Amino acid sequence: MNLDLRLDTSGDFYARKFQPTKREDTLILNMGPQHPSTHGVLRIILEIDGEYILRAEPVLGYIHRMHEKMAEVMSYPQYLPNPARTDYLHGLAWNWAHVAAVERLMGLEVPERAEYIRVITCELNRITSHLLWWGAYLLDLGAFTPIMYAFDDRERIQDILQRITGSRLTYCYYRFGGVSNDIDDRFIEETRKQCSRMKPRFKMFKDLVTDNFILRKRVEEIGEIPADTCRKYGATGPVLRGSGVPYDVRRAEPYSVYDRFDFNIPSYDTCDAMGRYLVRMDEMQESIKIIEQALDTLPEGDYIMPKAPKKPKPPAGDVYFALEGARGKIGFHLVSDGDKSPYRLKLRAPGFSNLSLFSEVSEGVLIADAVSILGSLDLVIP
Amino acid sequence: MSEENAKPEKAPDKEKEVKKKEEPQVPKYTGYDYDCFLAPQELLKAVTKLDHADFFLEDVSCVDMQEGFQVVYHFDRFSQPGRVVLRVMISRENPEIPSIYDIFPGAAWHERECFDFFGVRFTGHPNLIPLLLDPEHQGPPPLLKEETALKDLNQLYPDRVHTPVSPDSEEFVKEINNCSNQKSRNQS
Repeated sequence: MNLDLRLDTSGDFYARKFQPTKREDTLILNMGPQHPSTHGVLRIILEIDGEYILRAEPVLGYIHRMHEKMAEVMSYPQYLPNPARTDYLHGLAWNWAHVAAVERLMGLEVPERAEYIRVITCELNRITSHLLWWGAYLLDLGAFTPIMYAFDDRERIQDILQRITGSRLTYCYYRFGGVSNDIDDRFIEETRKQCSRMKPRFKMFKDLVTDNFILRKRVEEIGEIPADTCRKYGATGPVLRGSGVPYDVRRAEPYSVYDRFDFNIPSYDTCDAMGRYLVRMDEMQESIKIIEQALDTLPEGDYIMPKAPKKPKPPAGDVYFALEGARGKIGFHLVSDGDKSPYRLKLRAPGFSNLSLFSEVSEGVLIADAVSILGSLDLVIP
Repeated sequence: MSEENAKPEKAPDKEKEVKKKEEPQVPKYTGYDYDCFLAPQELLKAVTKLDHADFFLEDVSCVDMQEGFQVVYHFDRFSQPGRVVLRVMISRENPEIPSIYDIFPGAAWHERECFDFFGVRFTGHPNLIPLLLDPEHQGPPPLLKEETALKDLNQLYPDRVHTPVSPDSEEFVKEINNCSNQKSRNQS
């Protein structure tokens, strides 16, 4: 019998390529890809000295689905359901970015009512995304109860959206030149009710969680990301605003009808996980403000352009369309050769850039704090 | 005989196509506030200037076309929003381009992604290994197009100027300093 029962300790491709520091008394540890705090299938190779991280390197791509290639072999309408699958928590924003990039290239005008409907539904979706992040982040930090409160509100919003869009998570609601279905009085009434229901709940969330001493110990002065690091890595969204830069695509590069609404862009210059936490909590309230204004001024008219092309063939050329998703700046770079499918479609996922700064930020922190930092980046891995 | 018959039939079709293209379908605003072509050896100089002008890197993308790979860099700015796009053409036979990792460390992953999908090699990159694809992936990079499907620059960007700009030129410096999406929207 010649059985070698020793484990192969050389590791896989990424473990062998990992460049540790030159110290000899350290341990290489894999966090993930099935670790619950890595949300989805993210794997992080850590070099640790006791509980402290010396080097960290994220390994991703375990469930990469090559949406960019799919775009090239599908026609524009066939690709409509795809973008929402890239970020399953804020699907409508991705859906929007896709249709808006095509609209921009074709010079399509969208009816005003459709723009308002898009704003309302996209903001509702942003709230659900932030609520899930809030619950899951606190779950990472060891608090179980808040996710129950978060899901209470989240489910109600999903019920509202389900009636109109037909789905609860991976939405495919927007069409080239409008939306697929008009909103009705019941939707408006339910949305208003939900908005007024949620307002006092933020106060309760603050009393219950935000002011909690244990939480503050876990997030304050943890994972400090200076504004210049954000710039060097291209981090956007709440990560950037938590570092004191009030940059929001809705204001910086106004699209749709966002320039008609009065809302603040919350930013905190503490640069730590608490800053990012507070930005998201404030953002939900700003979203409610936007929704209420949009409902008050909702114009009558078509919900989709009467002669909207079912099978668009944009002219040759390229456009870039950016919008503000729950995680940051979503970018679509669309190159068309005048055919029925894109020549090249590049998707900019905000989480990709946000995560790439993790290895710099996590140097020298405790493993438990790294979990807190990862959660505060609000990752969606695929 | 058949060829002679076929020719006059095709000719009017082509005329129709040309007429269709002439219709003003050009988008009012393309999302780009400054769009320029660069020679590969001048890329680092241009990116350094963008870094000094307070830009951040949005993404690095690549388009496969007849002339070679077009590597596309998108930059934007927090303080005065405006998108700058740098386009660099490199050959298909020897797809090499300097890495901008030293200036923007955030480019590391974007460059690895391009390496995965197109096989573009970024010289000076510290860790150019597969990021999203399986490291044991066999065969050509997934986003390469078949030769018959390739289009050239004039087909893809009909109304653009494709002559490289020098990052030292006054025009470049002026454009990136004044770049703003408010301005270009008002003009259109």
